[in-house]
Amino acid sequence: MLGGLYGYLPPPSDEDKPTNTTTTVWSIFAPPQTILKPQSKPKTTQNSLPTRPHSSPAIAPSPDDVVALPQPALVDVTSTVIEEHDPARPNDYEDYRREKKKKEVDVEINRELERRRQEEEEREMREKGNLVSTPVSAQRVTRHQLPQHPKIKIILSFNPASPAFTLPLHSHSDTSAMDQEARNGELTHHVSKKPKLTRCISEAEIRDEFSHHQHGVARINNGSFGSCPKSVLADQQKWQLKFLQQPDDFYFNSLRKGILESRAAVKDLINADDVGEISLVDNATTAAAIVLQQIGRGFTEGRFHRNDTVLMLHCAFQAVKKSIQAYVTRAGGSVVEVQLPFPLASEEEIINEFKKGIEKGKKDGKMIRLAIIDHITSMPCVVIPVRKLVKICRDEGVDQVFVDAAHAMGSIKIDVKEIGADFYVSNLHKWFFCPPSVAFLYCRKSILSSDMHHPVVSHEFGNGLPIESAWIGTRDYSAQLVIPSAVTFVSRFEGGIDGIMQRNHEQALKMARMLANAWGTSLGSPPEICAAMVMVGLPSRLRVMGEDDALRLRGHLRVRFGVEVPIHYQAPKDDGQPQAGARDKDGIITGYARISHQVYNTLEDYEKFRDAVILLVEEGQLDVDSWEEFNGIA
Amino acid sequence: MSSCHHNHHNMDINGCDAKISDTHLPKKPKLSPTLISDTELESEFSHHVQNIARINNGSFGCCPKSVMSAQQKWQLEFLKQPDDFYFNRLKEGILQSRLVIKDLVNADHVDEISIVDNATTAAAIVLQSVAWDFIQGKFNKGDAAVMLHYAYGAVKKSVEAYVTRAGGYVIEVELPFPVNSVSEIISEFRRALERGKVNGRKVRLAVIDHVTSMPSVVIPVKELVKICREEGVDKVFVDAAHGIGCVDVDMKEIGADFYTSNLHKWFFCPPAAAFLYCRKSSEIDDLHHPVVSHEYGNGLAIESAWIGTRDYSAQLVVPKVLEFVNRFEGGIEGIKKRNHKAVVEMGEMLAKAWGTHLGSPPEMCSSMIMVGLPASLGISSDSVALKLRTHLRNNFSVEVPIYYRAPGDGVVNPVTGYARISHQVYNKPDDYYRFRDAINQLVNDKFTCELLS
Repeated sequence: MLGGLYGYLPPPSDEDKPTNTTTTVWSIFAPPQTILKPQSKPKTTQNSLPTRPHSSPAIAPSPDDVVALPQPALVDVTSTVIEEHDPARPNDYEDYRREKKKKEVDVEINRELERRRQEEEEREMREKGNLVSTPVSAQRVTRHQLPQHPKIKIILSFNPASPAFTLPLHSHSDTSAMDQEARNGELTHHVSKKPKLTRCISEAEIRDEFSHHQHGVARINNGSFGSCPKSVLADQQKWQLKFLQQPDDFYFNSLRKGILESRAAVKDLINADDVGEISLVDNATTAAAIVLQQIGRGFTEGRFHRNDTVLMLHCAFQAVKKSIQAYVTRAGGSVVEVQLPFPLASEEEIINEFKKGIEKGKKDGKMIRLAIIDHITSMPCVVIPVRKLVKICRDEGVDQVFVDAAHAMGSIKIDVKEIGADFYVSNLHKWFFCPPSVAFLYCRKSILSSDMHHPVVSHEFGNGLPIESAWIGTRDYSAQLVIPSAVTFVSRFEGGIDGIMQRNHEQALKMARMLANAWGTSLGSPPEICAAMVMVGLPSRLRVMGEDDALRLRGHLRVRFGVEVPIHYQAPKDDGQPQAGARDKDGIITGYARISHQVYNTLEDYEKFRDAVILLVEEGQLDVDSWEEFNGIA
Repeated sequence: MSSCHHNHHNMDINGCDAKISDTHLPKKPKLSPTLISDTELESEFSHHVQNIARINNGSFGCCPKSVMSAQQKWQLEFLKQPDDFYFNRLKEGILQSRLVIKDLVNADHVDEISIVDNATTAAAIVLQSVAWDFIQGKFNKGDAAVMLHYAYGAVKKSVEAYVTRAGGYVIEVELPFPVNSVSEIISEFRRALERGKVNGRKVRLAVIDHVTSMPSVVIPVKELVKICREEGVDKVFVDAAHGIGCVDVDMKEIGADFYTSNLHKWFFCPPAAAFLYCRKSSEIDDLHHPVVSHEYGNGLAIESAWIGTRDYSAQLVVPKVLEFVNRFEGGIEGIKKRNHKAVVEMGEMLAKAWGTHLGSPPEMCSSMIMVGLPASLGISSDSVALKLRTHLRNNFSVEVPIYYRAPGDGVVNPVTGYARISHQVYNKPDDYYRFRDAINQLVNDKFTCELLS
């Protein structure tokens, strides 16, 4: 009877499933608990599609296995819950794929019809002699303009190789500079291989998509909070309204399906094996809590020895460090931080330091239970050779590897199979145009998977992390539901998200060099270990002498100059060392700006920053005390 | 709403001004000279799907248009210039919301109020701290946690994940349903505490619902908390998912260590916001949000106010919600009273029409009441109850949750199904008549739930 408690939320209209969940005591409470039926659809669903590869459940037994879970230790109550443990929901996924395939076929058919229609028209026109050839520049005429020029019918066709589709701001000049290896393989992407649109987004459309951004602000810090275009926001509001219109119906009939669709989109984007490996959570901070809680239990429940270690980079995100403190240190684990040099000359430096850290972690027979590796460190910002570091971890017998890639999705290529970590998280609201906030947490299929839990426990507890994460009480799930909309948005750009990444990388680098030249400083790392963010040295005369100064300078740039850019303070190394940090003509560079490039940026943004810094230097004595005090993260 | 400006001078809270914090808003709501009109009310909820009898406010709540647009403004504010928003707006905004809540619930200090997503999140926070007490040896393995049998499913799971896993022994308090009097609950609760203390065990935690969800009954929390104190229970956590806007919520009077209530169910916030009250004492300094950010160690309220980049807008509209409820006669107190009166009236009307009974006496219900369904419908399990709920949605446009109650031995023609009906400001008698007629039609058609399987 009370099956409902435990969770699944199948459409109540699926009448063909047996109820196999029973308990004698627990009662049903509010709505979420619903569900009375197991997920599995009749086998015929799958059998009817013999050609499609069967996606096997990631973590759990097959849907047909029924697992009996006695209520643990809830004494004085006799209750038996028989339920399926099927986090991957392969049947749902099959449904989804079938629908998706169908949609794709429909689109294909429509496109073909459209093509024929256009050919027809073209032929007609040619016969009338009105159209001799289509000038290349005319190809950028937007579709909605067409009706205003009824006499000129233009054929819009998408050709990614055509230079006509390159936006003026984004040149390919620096392509060769990219170190494909460091960027984790070639830039081709699963989703963007088949862009669906026949034309690229225009500059005017881009401006419109981001017209809600504060005007007059040079926003060259996409890294901290990301950005979200209007079309995706509109979709999000639709979802929010849909919930408020009839929440029960939304909960029972729309939510789960929507989240599954988003997870499937992510799965394709990052080359995961199975949608059961993908959970959606709020942000990388939440994902870190999930992973670290699991590690913490390893210590508190005696599977790990006291003082076994967790290895991390010293420049890991502050929140992750705190999370380690809360879950690992408190539970008796010890922490080894890998010191990375900055500025960096090559990725070899990173690899060497990492190897040293591993040795330290394994001293005295200790085991390294977890290595946390940033894919792109936040501050200072550097792309870490994760694939190589993961391999080193495997060779050295590190138990689990967690890649914190808060900045990755949309700024660097992600192939989770190639990277080979156990856990990989990336925000989608930073560089993938989702609204705040959504991130995916990839958990490679393994025996660990069943012990991964969302810290906010709902009635879905025990149904696998993806399902647990998809319902953590009534809340706004809209940001998780718009991922397909973000995919559509990026597909409007030449080369899709890969094209965006490449152009952002090139432009960020170009702008960084421009700034460094103007200020007589240098970049914080070689070009191949940057993504869409680059560290640029600030003139030493600015005298950024500590974290507080850096934060004050950031506030000052915002308030006085309308420039939004984070500043990093780099303490000079030991005196007397020849490599005591980078210098400019006046001294040691202790301040770095982390500039970024995203599709909405223009040259003027960087010129504004350049001129602001030049002005500050010219003014000489920096009136630090008059700058506003700011608190918070850098 | 220009009229709103006048009456909110006392809600314009700028910090902890003593004069202001003495004012307990719910007790003396300043009323607008012009109250919300029927047309305005309809327009505030015009986004609800039309022609649905929405008599299940309890599950997901509702949010009026004026609050939604305030939320969208906050969302836009972030997107406009996120750095500026983060550094200069967010913290202040959340503090304002916490101050409003502090006054509404009669807490001593704003530090006692944290805002989180929902009661489920609050439960995780409290239960995780209890788990640490077990893990670090402050509590002995086998020490007990007591909770109601009718505790919310998610909370039970959370107890399992945190307390049971860390070595706690969980005791469920069986409660009768239908229930006739408060004393039935109190004596069952006492019995459970005794059971918890056999063999020198200690009861470390009591989880008490303020309003149970299904079946919905108002629990005499004040009395139960008092009993816990007398019996030496270490920590008392009141799960009032349906609390604020639905029952009296006075922290000092209730006296629990932890108290959580959703704000999106009965307080017109958008999904989702809840407050977690933690009584000031040295012991509870060890509470942490499970999602750990750089604010770790700065107190739960501050930790909860930044758990990474995300949308905090639902937490920021609380002052706007207060404006909304104050457009009603008597503010939130008036709304609550009228909802209770109306739901009892409608519940009695339905029970009479169907020849059944209510699940609890009127004084033990809030803005929700349990109404027995005709036995002839043949509601025979939870899954059948859910099917009936779906059937009512799809065929009669009635949105109402159904509860299955196993019959006692030897009862003839027992009522096994109860509908949990609710009343909120947007409801009209027609909503309940539609439900009445739907059930009557099913009965007349000799419908039984077997037909649904």
